[in-house]
Amino acid sequence: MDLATLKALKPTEYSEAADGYRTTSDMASAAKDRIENQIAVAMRNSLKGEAATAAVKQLTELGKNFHYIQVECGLVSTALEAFSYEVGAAKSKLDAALDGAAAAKLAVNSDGSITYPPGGQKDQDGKVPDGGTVSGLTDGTASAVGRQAANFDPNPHHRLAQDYADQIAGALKEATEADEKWAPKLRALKADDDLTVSDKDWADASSDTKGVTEAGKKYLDSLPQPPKNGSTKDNAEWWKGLTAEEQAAWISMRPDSVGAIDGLPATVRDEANRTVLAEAHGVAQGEYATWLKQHPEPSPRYQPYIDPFTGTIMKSISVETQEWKDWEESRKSAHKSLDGMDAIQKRFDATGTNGLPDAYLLGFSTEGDGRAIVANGNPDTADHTAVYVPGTTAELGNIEGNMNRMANVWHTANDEADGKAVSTITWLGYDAPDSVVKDAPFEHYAYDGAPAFRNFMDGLDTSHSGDSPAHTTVIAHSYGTTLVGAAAETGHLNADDVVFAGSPGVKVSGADEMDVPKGHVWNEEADGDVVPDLGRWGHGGDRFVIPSDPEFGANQMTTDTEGHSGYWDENSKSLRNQALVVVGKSDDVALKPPPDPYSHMR
Amino acid sequence: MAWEEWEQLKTAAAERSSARMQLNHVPMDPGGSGGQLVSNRRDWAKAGEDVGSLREDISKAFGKLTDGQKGLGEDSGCVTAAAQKEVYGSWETYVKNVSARCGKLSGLLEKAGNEQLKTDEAVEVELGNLAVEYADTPAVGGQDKGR
Repeated sequence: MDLATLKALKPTEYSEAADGYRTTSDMASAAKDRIENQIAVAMRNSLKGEAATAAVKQLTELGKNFHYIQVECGLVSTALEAFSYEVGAAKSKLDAALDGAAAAKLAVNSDGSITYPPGGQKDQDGKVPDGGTVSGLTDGTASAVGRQAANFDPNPHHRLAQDYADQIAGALKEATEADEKWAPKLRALKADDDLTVSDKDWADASSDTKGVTEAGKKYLDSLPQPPKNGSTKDNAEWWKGLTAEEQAAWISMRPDSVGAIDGLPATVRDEANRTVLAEAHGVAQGEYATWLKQHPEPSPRYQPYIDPFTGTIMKSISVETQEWKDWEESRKSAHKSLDGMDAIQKRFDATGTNGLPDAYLLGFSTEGDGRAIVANGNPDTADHTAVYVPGTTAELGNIEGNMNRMANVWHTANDEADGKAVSTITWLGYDAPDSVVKDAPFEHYAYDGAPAFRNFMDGLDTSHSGDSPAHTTVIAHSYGTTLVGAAAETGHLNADDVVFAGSPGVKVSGADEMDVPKGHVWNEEADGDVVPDLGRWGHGGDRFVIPSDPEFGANQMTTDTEGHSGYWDENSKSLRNQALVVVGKSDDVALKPPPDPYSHMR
Repeated sequence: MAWEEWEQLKTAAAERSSARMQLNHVPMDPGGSGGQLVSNRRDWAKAGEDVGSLREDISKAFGKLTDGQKGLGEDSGCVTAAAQKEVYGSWETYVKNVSARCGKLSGLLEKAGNEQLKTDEAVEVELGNLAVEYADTPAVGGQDKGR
């Protein structure tokens, strides 16, 4: 970039162009929300039949166009802001050097060199030292040599001219670097030339996000940073203190970080995490396609059955080959995180079906076994909120079942809520044990996850709007109860009620240690659930006590479901009792009669 | 669980699901025009109207996008300025196309609402045409961004 260009360049104009893209991104975000949460919902509610289904599908495709505009124009806006910031810094340096040169009556030439007049003390011959022209030097060694020459010159203008020329050259170099860095990054943000938003487009968007984030590091570093290890209130203050441009920059460059910060409004986290989800899905789909290419399906899939006793080949019966079965197993595992992402998308698309409220993605990551926090209904505006902690084997790949449980709690609680707003959240925010036998006996999964859980609960409290806080219930299943107990044991648990289901023990030994008001710890143990009595030896409190034991002091709710996994069966009493706790109708909860203290004497 | 109990549950479940099926059942209309459309014309029309209204929002935002370009003159020596111009051009096209897509879908839904499309099948045919029109073009689409 030459001197004339940088002189004429107005960084604010790039900032204004950035505003235009940001407005477009905001519009697209609002349009997408309107399509998903209003128009499609109304159609699902009122229209039935194949034509209606096809219409909603077209509407969903249109929603994807808006999501794509939202993310990509957000990136363009941020890229232009970052360019404006960097080139603006270079221009300030240039302006300072030009002002200095002008004040010193030095002439700046169009190539950035400076011509200085004769000046200084006359020499022996009575001659004033000559003037001259110097070019700016940015290379360290050359600059030092040039400076030395200038210092030896008896004409003092020479040294001054060299200084300013160097500053001008430095500013031009900085501007050129910014210019050459951002031009290709921007070009990568050109709109797709068709209106189908495919997984490939999202994989592209993912690499676009990475590109802008890398190039824009200096700009992002110049913005107020989120508090390190701050409270959820500090986080909320940080976010509120940002300008609209700064918030947009954080969302487009670091959607993964913004989506994970407890204390930020649910709508903000949701917007950020949906971008992460869409991009992660695009990338994962590409990886899966590569996997399939590298691992073609073994053929033939079937082989004739050989009778293991007689050794006869039964041509009429065919069975899958071992090779095929092995392949299918690895294929499923390669597709696992996509299963989870598809399930979350399915939940988004179900909004409005049977009255299911808007979904909010409050956390998402594919790292390790994956993390996802999905809410039915906005917790920031809810009167009653339930947060569910699933147990052993919970991971992104099988989140659908856990989300369905919370959909069931939402429906049942909503029926009992007397018009109050209910939000139910599936919190898969920890690395749950993968295997009941191998991992579940260890307590570190619980203690490792406990701080994140407490912070999430504090965050809900912080981001809740309105005068009164929400009534909040923690529901935990199996190993999830161990985590919740560990959370209360090692810090403050921000909740009003705690419901345990199928608990193998919660580390603490009594309801009074659960950090909720007396009488607000509830327990369910269904017939045929073997987990509590096996688990107590690992996770029970003092003397191996678990929440099902009378001395623990939990309210024992009645159950009519079978085994360890039925607590959320539709239309069951087990579910209804939990829902009653969630909406604060504890008087209506059906309790088991207290045990007969003399039963063992009979 | 006793066997009889199991049988009872199965029967109950079957009854429930057939009741649900009836809700979705499309009664045959002797007049030939009909299907689900008839009773829901107003809802189709409303959806069409809502989708159509998105175009106003697009056009407002697009105005801001264009305004933002005004200051950026011919910065001939600035390669980022040149790149920005290309980017702007691509988004101008994209946003206009999305607006057109809103218009087509909105028009179609309104047609279903005001009886220009008489049957579910007619609506499906039109929707099918839309789906074809906006299908992905892998050869030039998506990846053709000069990366």
